[in-house]
Amino acid sequence: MLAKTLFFKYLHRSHTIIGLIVLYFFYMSTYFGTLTFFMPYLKVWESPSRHFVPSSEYAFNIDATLNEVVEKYHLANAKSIEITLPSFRDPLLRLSTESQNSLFIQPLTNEVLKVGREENLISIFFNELHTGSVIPLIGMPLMGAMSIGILFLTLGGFWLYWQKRKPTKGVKGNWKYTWLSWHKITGLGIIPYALVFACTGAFLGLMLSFSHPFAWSASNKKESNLRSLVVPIIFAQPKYTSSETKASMLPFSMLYKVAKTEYPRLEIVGATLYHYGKEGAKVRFKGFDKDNVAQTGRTNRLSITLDAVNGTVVEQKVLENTHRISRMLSAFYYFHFVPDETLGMRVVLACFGAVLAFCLVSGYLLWAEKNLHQKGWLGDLTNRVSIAVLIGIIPSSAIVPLLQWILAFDLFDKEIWVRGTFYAFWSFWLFYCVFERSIVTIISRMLQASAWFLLLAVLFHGLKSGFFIWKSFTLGAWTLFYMDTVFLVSALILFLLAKKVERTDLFYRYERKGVYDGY
Amino acid sequence: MFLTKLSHLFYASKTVIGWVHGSLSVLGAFALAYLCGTSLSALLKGDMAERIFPSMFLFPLLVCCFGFWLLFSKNLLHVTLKIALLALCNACIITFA
Repeated sequence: MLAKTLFFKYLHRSHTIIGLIVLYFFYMSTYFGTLTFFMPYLKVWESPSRHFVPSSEYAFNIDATLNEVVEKYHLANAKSIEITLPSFRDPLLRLSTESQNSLFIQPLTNEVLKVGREENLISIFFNELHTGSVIPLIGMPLMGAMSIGILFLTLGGFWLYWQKRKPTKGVKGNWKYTWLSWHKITGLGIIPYALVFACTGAFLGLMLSFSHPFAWSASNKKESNLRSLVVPIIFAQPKYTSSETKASMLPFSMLYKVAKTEYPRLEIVGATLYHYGKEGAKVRFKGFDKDNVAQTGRTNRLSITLDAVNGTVVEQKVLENTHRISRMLSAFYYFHFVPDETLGMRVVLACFGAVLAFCLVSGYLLWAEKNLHQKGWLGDLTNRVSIAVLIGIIPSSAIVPLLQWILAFDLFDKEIWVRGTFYAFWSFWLFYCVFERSIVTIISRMLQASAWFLLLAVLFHGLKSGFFIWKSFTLGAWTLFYMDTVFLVSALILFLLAKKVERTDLFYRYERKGVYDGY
Repeated sequence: MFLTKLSHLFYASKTVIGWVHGSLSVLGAFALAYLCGTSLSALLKGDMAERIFPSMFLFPLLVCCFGFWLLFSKNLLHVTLKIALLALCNACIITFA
């Protein structure tokens, strides 16, 4: 058994080293993860075809259009047609089949839109940066492993706090004491958030792609592919038979009303049409239970199936009939993605995300304080690289929405231009951090650049889409108005921070040593 | 001489955790978590989803628990013994379950 002092030493040292390794990856994941909480709203802001004022409660009526669209685009031959109804996640109505690209319908005019290359460029890119899938093959498992690192740090951090509960003696104005206090306060405050997101992140990042041993063992050493073993059980799709005889179907709006009446607890988000226009056609309305959102999320949708010819109920999938693993999986997905939650919950979670990012930064600064008074190149170089990663990510990501609106929407390789600029710009900040002597100047310019990019993004969004912030306000296009407001407020905060950095003693302390003074 | 150095490396208690101890703990924690998850999947009853998913859900927590357990070892010999014994135990469960 280890002596108590050694026990504390081991715990403290492992917390520091694992923290330094995990910090950069998980900071990236937290930063972009926090932004992707607002993905539904960002999707609307970045896409010109979604720039309209949706009707209240995203109402739609495709009775007249559905037959025409199905016939024109030969959708009736498909096994099933998926309909995603308009919602805060996407105000357009989407029709998709296995064999064709999705069709988007404007719900107010029933016009089929050409969304082309405008489709979710920023939101998908930010999400890929969050999950690590921008790094081929190893990106997602790496982020999953980093999530386990955060879990270790959270549990270990709490253990450290428990071991040494007496208040740390510190001199007022001592920055090491200040960072330790903030690291402790923020770390303890976000324990539930960190536990939930680290556990679910590790599951999604690492386990979904590296669970072969478990599958191999469960199948008595016959099969190691998880998907082929569990998909038929938890994602089993209904099979409906039909004849080739044509039959007239009830209008979609009428079937929708019947589904709502028969299953009032179901909040319908989409529908699947089986054997459209033929005898035996069925419509399966899917959604979540209003009283149990977590267990009826994206991976465990409840449903009601109606006969499309006479409107009778064929099948009803209620929560009690679903597989318990599906319910658990749904809860896991819910806690990570909050798919059916609107703005309020997303703002709360984003605040927690910001606190987690600050906790990581304060942990780094605590370590940096120790190195500030030690000789050698390590302290200065890690400070500069850390500034490039931790703060340099802000201007590099702020340039993305600006480019989305500056570059033409029909530019063939727009995605490559946007992503390439992001990486090139981030590399630039890394070189600039080593090139520029003054740390205060580096931080200040990074923050100012971010503020300018956000300001210009709002300006170009207005110029190209015609939806200036005041027009969005007068028309009631609230998503566009809120997004523009968030960008403008962020720009203002960044300007103020840039000014404050120049006036704060803290950052000048890091300039005492450096490459120019010799190590 | 070499044997003396090796025995010192394995038996000596350290006041500061070393890189070998740390790396072995991390790698050992992942390996043991995988092995325990595999044993758990072999022991559980039910359909495939009920046998596989609990191991997947528990994996991150298992890594942390094994990580702490291996970390708080007096010397490298203890770390190695813990990994070897638990690996052997799991291998038996996987083979005979």
